[in-house]
Amino acid sequence: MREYVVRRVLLFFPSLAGVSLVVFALMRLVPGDVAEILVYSAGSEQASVAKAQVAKIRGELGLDKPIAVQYALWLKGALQGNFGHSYLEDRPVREMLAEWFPRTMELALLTLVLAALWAVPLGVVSAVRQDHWPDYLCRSLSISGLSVPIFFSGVLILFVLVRFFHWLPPLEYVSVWEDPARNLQKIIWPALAQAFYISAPITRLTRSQLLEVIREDYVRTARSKGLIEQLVIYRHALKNALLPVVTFTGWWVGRLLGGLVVMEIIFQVPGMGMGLITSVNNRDYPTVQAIVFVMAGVFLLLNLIVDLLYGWLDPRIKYA
Amino acid sequence: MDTGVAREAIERGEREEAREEVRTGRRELWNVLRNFPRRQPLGAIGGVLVALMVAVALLAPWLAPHNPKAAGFDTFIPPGGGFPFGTDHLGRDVLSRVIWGARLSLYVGLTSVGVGVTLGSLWGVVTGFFGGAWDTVSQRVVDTLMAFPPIILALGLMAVLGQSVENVIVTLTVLLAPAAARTIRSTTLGVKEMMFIEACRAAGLPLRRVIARHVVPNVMATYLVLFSVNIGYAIVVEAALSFLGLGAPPDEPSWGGMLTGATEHLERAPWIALFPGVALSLSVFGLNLLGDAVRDLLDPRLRGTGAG
Amino acid sequence: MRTRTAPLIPAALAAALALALPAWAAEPRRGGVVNWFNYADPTRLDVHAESALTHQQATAGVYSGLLQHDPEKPGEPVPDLATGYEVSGGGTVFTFKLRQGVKWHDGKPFTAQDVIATFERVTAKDFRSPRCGTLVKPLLAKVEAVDPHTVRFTLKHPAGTFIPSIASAWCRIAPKHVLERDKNLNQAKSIIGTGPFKLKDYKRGSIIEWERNPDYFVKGLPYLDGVRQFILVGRPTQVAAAKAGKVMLWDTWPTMSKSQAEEVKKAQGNRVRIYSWPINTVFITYLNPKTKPFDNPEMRRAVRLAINRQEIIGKVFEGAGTPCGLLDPKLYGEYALPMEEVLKAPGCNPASKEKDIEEARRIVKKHHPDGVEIEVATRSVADYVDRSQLVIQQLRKIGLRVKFKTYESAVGFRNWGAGNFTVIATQDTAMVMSDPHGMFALTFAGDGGRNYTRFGDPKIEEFIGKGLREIDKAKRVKIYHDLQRYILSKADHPNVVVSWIEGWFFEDTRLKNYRQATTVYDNNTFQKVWLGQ
Repeated sequence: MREYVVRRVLLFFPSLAGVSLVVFALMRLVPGDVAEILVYSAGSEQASVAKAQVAKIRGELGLDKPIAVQYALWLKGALQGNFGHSYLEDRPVREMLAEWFPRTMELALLTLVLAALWAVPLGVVSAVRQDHWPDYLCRSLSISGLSVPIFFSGVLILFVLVRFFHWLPPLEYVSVWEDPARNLQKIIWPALAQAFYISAPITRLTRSQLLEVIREDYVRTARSKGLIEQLVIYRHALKNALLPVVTFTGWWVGRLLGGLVVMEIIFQVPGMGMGLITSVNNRDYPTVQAIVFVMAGVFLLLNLIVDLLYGWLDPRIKYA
Repeated sequence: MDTGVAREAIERGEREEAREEVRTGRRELWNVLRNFPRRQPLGAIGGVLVALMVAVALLAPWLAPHNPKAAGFDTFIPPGGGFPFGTDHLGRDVLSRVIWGARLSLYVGLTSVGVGVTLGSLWGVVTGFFGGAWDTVSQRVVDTLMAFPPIILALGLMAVLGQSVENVIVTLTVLLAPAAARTIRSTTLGVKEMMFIEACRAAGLPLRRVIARHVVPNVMATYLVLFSVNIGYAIVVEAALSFLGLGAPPDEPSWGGMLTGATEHLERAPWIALFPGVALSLSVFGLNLLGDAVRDLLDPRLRGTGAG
Repeated sequence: MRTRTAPLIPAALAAALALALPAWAAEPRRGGVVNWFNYADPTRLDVHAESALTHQQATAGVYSGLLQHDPEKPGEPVPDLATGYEVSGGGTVFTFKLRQGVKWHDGKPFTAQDVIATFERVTAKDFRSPRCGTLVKPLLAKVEAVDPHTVRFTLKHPAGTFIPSIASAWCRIAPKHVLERDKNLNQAKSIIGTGPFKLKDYKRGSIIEWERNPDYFVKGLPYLDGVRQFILVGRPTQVAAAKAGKVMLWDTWPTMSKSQAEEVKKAQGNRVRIYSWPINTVFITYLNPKTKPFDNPEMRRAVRLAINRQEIIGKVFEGAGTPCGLLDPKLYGEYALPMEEVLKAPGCNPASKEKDIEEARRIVKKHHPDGVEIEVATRSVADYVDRSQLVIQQLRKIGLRVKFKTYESAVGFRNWGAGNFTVIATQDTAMVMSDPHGMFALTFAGDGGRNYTRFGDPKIEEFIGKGLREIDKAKRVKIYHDLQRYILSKADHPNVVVSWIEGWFFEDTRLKNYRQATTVYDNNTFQKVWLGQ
């Protein structure tokens, strides 16, 4: 057991290093760099001048160094918690992450709470009334969430709010500490759309877990004793069944951190996703690297915790 | 026991088993199919929707009244008359685009999932079966790719490769393969530990045979489930890429691209969004219902993490 | 030596005029905050170093220039920090008298040294200044302080673009002490101006807020307490905000389509006024003269004949555009060739379009009897992608087999810059001035930043040089007319001007005294804007 934990924890690092390497390589494979974007998008200089300027900017930003050297420099900084300096915003990337991370995290957590509130009851009803119409209805509802592209449900929400309610979420982002009500007015919509989208697997897992537990002996015994069915389910079955659902939902937090890009754009939440798109579009390498590094780090960390939690809660799991 | 005798016995057994399998297989398949609508009514609905989509996709050249790329008509003609679904903001026939969109979506979904899940599965089977250092390395690669936010991987790849339908498929393949590899690997590990395979290896049967004859069939169920649940996912991801400006080229009749273009005209011309939206949602809904049913039939315990 | 005093209204009189509004206008009301938006998050705020509108408009009201665009009369340069200027040395020496007693927002006095520091900065060899720098660097020989309130600019040669450049919103005066302290103007802390508003707050990705500068050098101005720019990315979000009445003004990039403007009108009724206005942006299709098949001048002529400008304007801009012309008459006035003459150029006349297309088809058939496949590319920008498909449709009509290729924005710029394309279906260029020089220097000079075909023509270069150096307006008009006629007659020129673009906009009817400038960059200071009840 201890050996497993140590090994599992150690494996966290090569994966993270792998991610940093892949994002580093990927960004350099994408044609165009920040120097070219700055110069060519302006398009105001004479062609000959523009060329010299591109070279000059590259030199200033260290983009003319060999890629291996650039990577080594970046990794060295990252390990010390220094993610470099953003070309785009001319300030430390760490400062930007400190602004963006809490916003996206809040949105992700709210999304999961809403998803759970919607998906778990659907799963419960669906299991209890297995193979009857409430089962079918609940499953259809949860699957329908998967079937609408998320950007379109986002745009539709905005459209309906404006067209039929003559109301729009606040344009300005206010943090939850400043004004929770205004904050909620803004982020509830992307959270709702995203929650609807991710609910299907949660419903499905709840249902299958519950079905498994319902078949177990003690539940049957309880049933045969004539207790009210509802009570049995809530007291015994649900408790056991929901554990994997909770861990699975935890896993989603990691995924959502990188999955809210589209919602952040449509609903103007200045978080990691919006930052990511802007910095990719502008080839702001240090920022892209840091965001992906953090997103992947959180994802891997949550995976690690979920794995260890499973091992601890369910001794039957083999450490293969 | 002499290994030669054991080997012969196993081979004889296999042949017998195979014949029996074919007989019962036919019977079972028929039973499953006959009972499918009753046992999986949702799956049956899904099946009908998918069949409809496939039919439209196959018959597109005959069904579509106009060239889906031709921007020659008046813009914003409401549905009715000459244009049952109206025309869009560039004067293209929405009906024709929706019809050809079925073909494009199906093509993107089937090929990306076909290639991605198949390659991923092979990867999973091989690494799972052999284990060892390669497995450890490959697991780290899978971890790395799965830890990568899918949207950024997709954006990056599309920017590197350039915008084309084929490159959307390549990108989706890269997104789908690692998850398939992971799932199949764990199934393989389970199968590997089963007694009869140990026996086969002890008896000295060629490895290739053991994998082909025993491991692959056992993994097949998981593979089919992965295959069926991911097609819808692939179609939706293509739509998201379109929204970010990096999906199929914009003149291609992709449902995602059409929806993206329509977002600017929701009030003036809701039909530009409505028809591709309904087509996409019904198709993906159908695919997901069918996928779920397949999953229930083949592997009631497989837990879905398909919708990343 | 000829010396003349510029026909500029003295500042005091200008201020008086501002107050003496037409009889129908109510007395300007003080107070109120205007809600506006910025289409992107500027992230860096240095107007001297940046080139996109988002950076410019973020601090527009904070700074002043020596001159500015008249807030009430679009396109006219009027004094701002200068009280006037004198021209001598045959149009090569400009002496500006500066206002006295002006204070920076941090309380320090404004002097000639700030002007010197600003222009030394933008013309420095090692400093990249894509707007103000590219405007004045080629012209300026020397800038010096005559006394603390007089600055003298010496030019290398006379130039009709000098005064419009000095009035440009990109050539704003920054404080010497801040430039020395912070080295750049990227961060909010460095944004110290002399303008009507102070930068109150910049919440990245969310909002930019200005507040009234109580010590503004024009007494009684500004009327507004402040201006708020919400950062709204993407047109669906922007249109939603407009329909919900959350912003009071849509005057800049990106433009609305006519139907979007009508939707806003429908949602907001009499609370808003919608209008269209040219945005001084030209839409050009580029054919690569170095690769097949457009290395053949005849094939280029075929495309010029085939492109139906009027159809594109009708369908994509819903009529809001000026076809074919090399200068938009609405903005360039007498410099622009009259439309009647422009429409006689090959491919421009809607009446003979059918014949032109027939002719184009014949040319293609003659040179490529089996047809020819070409790749038509554009950057993956929603508006471009839509337009391109109409261009492609028109090219298909003359027998070209077209493959449509879209590039991610940055990749596209890189390819255009490297000459890596067959056809660029559409690329817009927004002009910084309403002086005719900009258009030709950028898109027709062989080395121009937006001349992606690199197609040079000694005759055109000669015209451009002559036009720049001429300061007599009548003679300049003649030069530019000749230049336009020359380019229009060159039916095989690979840069095909499709249209000058107009946009649809709206303003809240409570918003008074706001006029859109002749470029998208100018007159965003809200200096004389006020809010009615």
